[in-house]
Amino acid sequence: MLLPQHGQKDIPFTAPRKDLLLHYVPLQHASAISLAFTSGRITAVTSHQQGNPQRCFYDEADSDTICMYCPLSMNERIEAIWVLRHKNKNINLGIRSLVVSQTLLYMKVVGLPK
Amino acid sequence: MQSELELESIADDSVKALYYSDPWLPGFIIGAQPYSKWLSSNHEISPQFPVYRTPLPGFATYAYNMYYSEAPLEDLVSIQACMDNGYCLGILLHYGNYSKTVGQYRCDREISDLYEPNCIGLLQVRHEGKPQIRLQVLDEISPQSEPADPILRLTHGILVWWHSKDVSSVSIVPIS
Repeated sequence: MLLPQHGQKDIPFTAPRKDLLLHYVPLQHASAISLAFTSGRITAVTSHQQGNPQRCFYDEADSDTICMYCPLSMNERIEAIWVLRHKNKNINLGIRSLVVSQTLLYMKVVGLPK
Repeated sequence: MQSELELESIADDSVKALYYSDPWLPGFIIGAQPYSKWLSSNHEISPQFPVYRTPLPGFATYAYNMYYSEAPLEDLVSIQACMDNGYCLGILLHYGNYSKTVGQYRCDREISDLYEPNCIGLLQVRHEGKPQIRLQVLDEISPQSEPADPILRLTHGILVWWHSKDVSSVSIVPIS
């Protein structure tokens, strides 16, 4: 998979790998990130902008989906993002959590680790 | 069990966007697109592994369907509740410069007005045998109508919220 290289200007995001659909979640001016979980794994991600709560995100959620909302501080940049996953990459348990760090905010969103 | 999991860094402070593939296909990927590496401060931040301040509630049938969130109650300015059929799915806590959520907070459900934290409490109730949360406006309580179950007042400590699709369990633990 190729991503725009460091230093390049905005380039339309493409996924050259055959048959691989990538969902793109812009974080510019994002006021929050929402995550959808099914059976403890992240199944969808979206960002919210001020005044645009992105309600269509929930239309795609089935009845078993849990949605969690991580507000972002608009005055601060994101410092780092981690994903929580099984150490053994061959065990496909999915991504259990997303951890977002800002100076004032340390947001943990957790599907129970197993 | 936590030792089977690890935190993997996917973005630093130059993050512009996230991307992810279909989670149900093999080889699920999630990553981040940077603006530019020259914008990165290269400031290493150590992640904190998620820990749970309370054990998994006893009513949980399957651990993998339970979710955990927490938020401090100190310096709380106001809260908003996410409501569904009269029950509270989760709350958004405002601290002035930043906010946090506990429980499930969805923009497609009823979002309450802003409450001052000392005007509101949480009541653990059972609905059709399942533990759920009701919001209690404290001004409305008269001595005669004081609920039998204790009201959790959002004053001190850390609010801990376990939930799954249709159950919620809250507690307040002291700051360690």
